Amino acid sequence: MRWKSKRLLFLLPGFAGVMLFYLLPFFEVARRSFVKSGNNAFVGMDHYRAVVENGAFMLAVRNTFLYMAVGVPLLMGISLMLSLLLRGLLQRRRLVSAMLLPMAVPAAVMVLTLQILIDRQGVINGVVTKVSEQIAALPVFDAIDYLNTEWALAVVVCSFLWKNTGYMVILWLAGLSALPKEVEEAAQVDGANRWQNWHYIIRPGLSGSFFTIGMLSVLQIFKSYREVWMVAGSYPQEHIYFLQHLLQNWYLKLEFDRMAALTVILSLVLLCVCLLLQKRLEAG
Amino acid sequence: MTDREIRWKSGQKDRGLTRSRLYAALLAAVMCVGLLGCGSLEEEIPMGRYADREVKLPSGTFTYMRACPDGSYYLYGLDTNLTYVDAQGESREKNWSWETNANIHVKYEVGVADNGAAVFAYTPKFWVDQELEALWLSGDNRYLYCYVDEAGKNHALEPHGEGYQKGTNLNTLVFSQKGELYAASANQMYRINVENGEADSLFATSGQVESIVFADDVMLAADREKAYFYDLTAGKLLDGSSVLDEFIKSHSSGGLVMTLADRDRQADTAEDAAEAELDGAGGTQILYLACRTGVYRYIWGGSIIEQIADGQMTALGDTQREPLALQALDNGEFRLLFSGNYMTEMYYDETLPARPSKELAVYSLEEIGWIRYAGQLFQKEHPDVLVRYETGMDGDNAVSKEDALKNLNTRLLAGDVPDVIVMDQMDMEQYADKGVLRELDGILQPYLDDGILYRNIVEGMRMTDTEKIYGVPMMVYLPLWLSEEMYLEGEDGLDDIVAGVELARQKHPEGPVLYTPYPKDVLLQTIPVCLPAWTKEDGSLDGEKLTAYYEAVKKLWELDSAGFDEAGREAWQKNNMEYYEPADMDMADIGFNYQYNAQQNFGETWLQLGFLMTPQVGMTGIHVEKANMAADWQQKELDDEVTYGAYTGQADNVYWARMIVGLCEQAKEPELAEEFFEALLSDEMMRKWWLDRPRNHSGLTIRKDSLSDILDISNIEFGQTMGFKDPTGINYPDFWPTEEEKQWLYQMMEDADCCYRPGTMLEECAMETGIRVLNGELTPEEGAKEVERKMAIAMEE
Repeated sequence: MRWKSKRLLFLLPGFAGVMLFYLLPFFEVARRSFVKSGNNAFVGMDHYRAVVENGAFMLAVRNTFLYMAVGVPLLMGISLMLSLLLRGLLQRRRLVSAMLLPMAVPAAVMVLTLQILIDRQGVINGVVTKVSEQIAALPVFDAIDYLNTEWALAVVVCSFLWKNTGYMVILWLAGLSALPKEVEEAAQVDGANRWQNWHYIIRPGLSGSFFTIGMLSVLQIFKSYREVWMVAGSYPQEHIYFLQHLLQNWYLKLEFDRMAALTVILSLVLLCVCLLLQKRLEAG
Repeated sequence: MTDREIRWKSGQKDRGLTRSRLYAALLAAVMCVGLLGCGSLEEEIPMGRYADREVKLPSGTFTYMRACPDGSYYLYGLDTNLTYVDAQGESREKNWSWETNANIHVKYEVGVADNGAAVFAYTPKFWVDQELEALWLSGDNRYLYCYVDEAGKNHALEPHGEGYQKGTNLNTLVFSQKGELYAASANQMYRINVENGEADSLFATSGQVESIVFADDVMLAADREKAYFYDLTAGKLLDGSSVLDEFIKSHSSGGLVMTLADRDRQADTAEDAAEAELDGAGGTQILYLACRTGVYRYIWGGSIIEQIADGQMTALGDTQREPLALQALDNGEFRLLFSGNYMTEMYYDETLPARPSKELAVYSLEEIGWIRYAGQLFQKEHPDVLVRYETGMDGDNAVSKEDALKNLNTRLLAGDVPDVIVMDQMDMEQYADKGVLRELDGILQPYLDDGILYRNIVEGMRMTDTEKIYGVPMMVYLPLWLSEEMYLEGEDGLDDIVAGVELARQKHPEGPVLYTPYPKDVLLQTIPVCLPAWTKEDGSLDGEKLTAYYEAVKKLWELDSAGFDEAGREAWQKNNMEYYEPADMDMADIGFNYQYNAQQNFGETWLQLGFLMTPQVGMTGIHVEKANMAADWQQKELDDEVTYGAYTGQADNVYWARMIVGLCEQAKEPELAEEFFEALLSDEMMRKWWLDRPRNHSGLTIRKDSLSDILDISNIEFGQTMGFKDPTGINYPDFWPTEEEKQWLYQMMEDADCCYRPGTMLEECAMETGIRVLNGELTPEEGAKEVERKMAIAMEE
């Protein structure tokens, strides 16, 4: 018992930090989500109701979910495949370093590059127009303003993949390097093919990494808002209007009550996702 | 195991530990009591601080002051004679006759000695030096110099010598007390013999030296980065002062002037006590420095710089005026000459509290000269109040509008609420909805009942949902077109503008018709008179009107572009770049500023769309910053051909609300805020601003009597207050509005009831999309749809 108390004592500074900088502000936000700003009158679930009934909120949720549903599996899948390919290469270190470069590119440069590529007068339109001019069988190509059409989400997903794949490859490689080589070799001796090797040895061995990389990918989705905002502004094409746009705009419009409610909702959803994922992994 | 551990494990009480806890508890209790006590004690504010009073300048416009040790001074302006003012304030003009026949075109710099001798840097009417003339013709402005001795005799001065290159521009000219001339070029200090022009190169500097003072045999010269101490006897640079360097670097952006005073003579002033304390620091001279943040003193050779007067509580804090010269007087006072022909004396007033007991916080996104000016006047009348004027984007910190708004909102969330808020470029409805702004109907009612303010303008600010007023524009711009009569006479809408421009294009197939180098300019000139019409009564966007708008502006842009081929337009844009800085300009600027240049280069139609920003130079004299186009047209006797009229777009009777002042509901000083608001609405504040700072383009006052006051020619001192003597200058009385024009203006003010407030989301969105429409990326319909879509999300939010 006393030993436990001492351990708690050692944990106290860290916990105090979390308490002071995360939990207490969060509780304050949670409190504000139930009161009216200004006079602090209790309003019950009014703010939550206002958020849920808000059309912009529904649009943002739909887009954010779609972005996540497309972006996370793609990121995880592509990076896993690349890591499996790289795993066998002897000179992989240089390749991996090169793949990390997009992480080091400043956001402003990335945005500029993106604009050069996808602008109506950009490189992609230029190339496609040239090709369509050269090949008579192709229809005349009208330049597309990608960020102001339905293509906008695809552009955002591509830039998300470009930026984060290298980092995820490293995480997968770390997970793969922790797998005991002997087991795979034994399986090969027993005649296991590649699929069986993947299905019965590698996949179960990577389940821990799967959770970490999955969570990090979800968080990267939220972090990629900066680039989207820089390239398309506060009111982008409706397919790339995300929850962060809504929060940002509400902040400018002094909608603090709704922001508080939305923050609580988002935190609860993220918590649920984490718990579900963890439970599923624990269950095997 | 220690004894304490044994006692601890066996459960015995540790007396030492108990005692420590007891002491800690006692200490905590004492601290709590102490802290509680702090709040209840009333703080006693010490008395005494520097205040200032305006000094009436002799007749003329002055930009230079030479302070003499006996308290007298010389004043000089580039178009005003050298004037000597003795210590008693009596002035007399130096009666120089040499200028009459001198070959001087423009005088640029001057240096005056204590005995009245002077050196001038000038450009001549007729060049005799071919080398310099060639430079001049190539656009490289090179000075000539002349020395005028004490008796007023003019001698040509031709600096020469090792290290001095012919044609070097000496921008700072200063005589030492011994009568020696020291001069600074952009990167070098010289000593120049005024008798023979021999120039000794003294030392190199990193920038243009702007201030020079002398202490015995040491000269202190300062550029905007560094202070240089130079031993005049030994002829070498001495060790600098890092404290002074640091100070200069951080305080010279808004102008920094300095003067040196003998500390023994200063010792019997009101600051005796403080001086005595500093006696131990060594040295006999005090360097006084004045800049926007206040007056400072530095003991020669010391290591501290101490503030003795707060700029915020004196004219030094005025961002519209830059200090040009400082003089320390024997009685402890200071004399300061500012840009804008303004002089003050700063005196120590023991009856004033060292710092005001109350503070009034005023906030605006961008610096507004009139608000700062009003704050200073208010402060003068209320010595117990400090008006703290803050701007969200103050220019130095490069904060974007969005970041500034976020910062403000964070402050509001934390309860740090300003008392008065200027809502220009801000969404007033939003702040009113959220209870940040206070309803102003009660305060405004008497002004409206008595017909003091233009009711239509005030009513134009009434919120549609709450039916209340939360902000009032102190001044407004009125939309105006100017053109040859045949094009826009009878104009009544955007279609008429298009038709007028079409006709102008037919008559003038080449060159520009409107002054619109870039697509953005077409939008800037037309959005203000159209935007109010795009919102339906239920608050939704009227897509049809927006489509019609885009169609019209597209046509305007095409008509204007038709006068050039691609290379021609690019050349024209490049040609106009030096005048044209879109980042620094707002719509009114685009409307009329620099039009003059366009007219000079190309214009034959005189067709312009913009805003009337000042009434003072005549209805026909639409104010522009660098030149007055109307004056020019009058000189060209185009009266019969060129005319003007109220400019109507898709909305009628538009006025552009400027300086929209609101009060905060949670203000810390609500009564003071109300008093300040009423002071802003006072005739004195509105009139004085215009009479003190004519030629500004703040707008037309919403107070009827102030507007007629500033239009009353008898209130204006031409050639002095207005700053121009030249009868062909922009403020010549001949161009003053006639009675008929005044009545026309009053009627226009009475009719203006449709408010345009810039910086709304709709405007930003329409602008962004409009550029794409004009560039052909979107059709007008697509453009309107895109704005609708974005606005729909914004409305949903």
